[in-house]
Amino acid sequence: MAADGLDFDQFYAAHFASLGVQLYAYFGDRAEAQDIAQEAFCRAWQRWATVSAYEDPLGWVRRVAWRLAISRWRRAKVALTFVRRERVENVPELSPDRVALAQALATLPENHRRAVVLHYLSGLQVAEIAEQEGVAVGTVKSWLHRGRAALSVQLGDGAAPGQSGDEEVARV
Amino acid sequence: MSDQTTDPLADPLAEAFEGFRGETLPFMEGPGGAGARATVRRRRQVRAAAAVCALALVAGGSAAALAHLAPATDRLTPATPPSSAPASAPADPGPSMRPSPSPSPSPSAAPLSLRATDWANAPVTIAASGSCRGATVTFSKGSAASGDTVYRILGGNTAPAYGDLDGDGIEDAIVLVNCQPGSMAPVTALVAVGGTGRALGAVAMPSDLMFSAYSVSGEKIHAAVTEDGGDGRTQQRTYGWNGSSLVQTGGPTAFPALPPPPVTAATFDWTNATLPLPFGGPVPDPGGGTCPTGTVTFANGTAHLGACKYTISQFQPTAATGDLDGDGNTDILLGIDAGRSYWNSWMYAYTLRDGKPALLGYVTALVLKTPASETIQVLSGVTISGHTVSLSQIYNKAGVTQKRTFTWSGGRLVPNAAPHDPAADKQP
Repeated sequence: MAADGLDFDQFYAAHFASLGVQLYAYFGDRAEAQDIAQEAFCRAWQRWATVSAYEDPLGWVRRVAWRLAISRWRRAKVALTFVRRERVENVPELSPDRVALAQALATLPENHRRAVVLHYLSGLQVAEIAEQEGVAVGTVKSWLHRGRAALSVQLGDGAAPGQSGDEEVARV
Repeated sequence: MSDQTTDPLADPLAEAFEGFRGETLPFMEGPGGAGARATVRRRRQVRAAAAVCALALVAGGSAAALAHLAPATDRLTPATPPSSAPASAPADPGPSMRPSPSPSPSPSAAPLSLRATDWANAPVTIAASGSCRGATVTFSKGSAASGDTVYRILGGNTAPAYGDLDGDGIEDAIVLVNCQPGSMAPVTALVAVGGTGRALGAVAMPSDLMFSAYSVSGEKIHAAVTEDGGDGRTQQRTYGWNGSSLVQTGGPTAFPALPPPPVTAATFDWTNATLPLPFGGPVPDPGGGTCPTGTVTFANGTAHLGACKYTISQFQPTAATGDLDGDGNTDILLGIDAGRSYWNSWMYAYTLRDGKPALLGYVTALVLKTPASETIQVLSGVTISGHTVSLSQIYNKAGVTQKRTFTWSGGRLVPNAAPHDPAADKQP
């Protein structure tokens, strides 16, 4: 990928919203999720010549975003002032099922919630989550198992997990 | 890697998350790539102008909170949940719950920074390196201890430096720690703390070297490594993060060996040397005869030439050294005994020329033995001051101490003070 503005714009357009959704699920705050995602893309542009040459530029941006999220980095206000004004007109109205999911996510321990979001919304495999989090694969399996169990309880039988922790092994 | 790999049919939660994604994705727009570029451009402009801008830290003293985060990944969670935590407001909480835009936003607005950390009173995980043992400690007034190891945060020219060592886009911190394990010699160690609080690693110097200064440029630490003591030589070395620890990435890895110090008369091994002994003297041996003159090679302080045995020794308690001939080089006085069964004591002055012994002068046994009827039991207090040699003699019979001086002149050591028996003070 060439390090020019056009490719960066394409990269941004292709992945910003998806990353924002993951962070939104984690924080439950869309503005904060957008801020962090935007800051991660800013940092990508700051070193785009390097990042764009990576095998997985999106992985780099995602790791930066999650580290920012974990360290509770909040926002670079200036870049998003305009966007915030716009957000008022674009507040999503979630269906009751989605609200219930977000509420259930909010009750999970931080690491369980991250594992679940990374798994279901980032599409990361257990080993990839373990690498990003710097923990053992077994730890991630445990987080996922407990997170999903807790979600199933809160969301009712309809959303009960269909896989056990052992089955995650086969997905690594 | 795909964006979504979970089969919704196999996992009901997957369907729920897919629905969540589908409903929220349309509302997750950003300022666009142009917005990101503009932000970066503004930040660079501000940096170039060297403007002192306040960091736009998040409310609630988050910097202090970060400074107290433990380094383990699972403890990086903020001490307090976000103000807009989704416990009861999973959807956008609305304008009233959103953080207020800065009334006068600064383009240099920066993220939460380790720069706000008071390192002298902060928890730091120190990875083991060299003789510095690893530990997670909390500094108080610059000091901390773990087991028998004492750690001290260093400041001054070695105050913490900041840069993005791990390339994650978040500024990391590098602090210099003095680490003293028990009674072992203290060492200095560069300790890197990741921007999220996690430990990146440490690199410690051996006790005979120390980090005397350092800075961060790009993803590299540029450190000055100085010899502790000795000549105090300094080298520039670079260090970087290899994904798991700090490692040296550039510069020399060791100081070249110093050339051996020049040998002087004070350090030369006179007991294993070949020396000119210009005089043989009368040996008052019952069998008669003299010890031969010539060049004598000593081994472990002794030599044999003809029927004579020679022994060489330095004067005690300290060697008699000085610049006897005034040429700027060190000279030495040595005692040499020679004889067959009865020993005469001579005093010779030597220097080194081109690393080899050269004779400066001498005092014969008879000249030393004044009065001639006495036997010198002890020759002590031999010193060189300028061209003058001073010494004390204690006689066997009289048991008296006699002080004498000699002056170096033209290759000879000439007695100064009138000896107790001037008539006997002559060369054989």
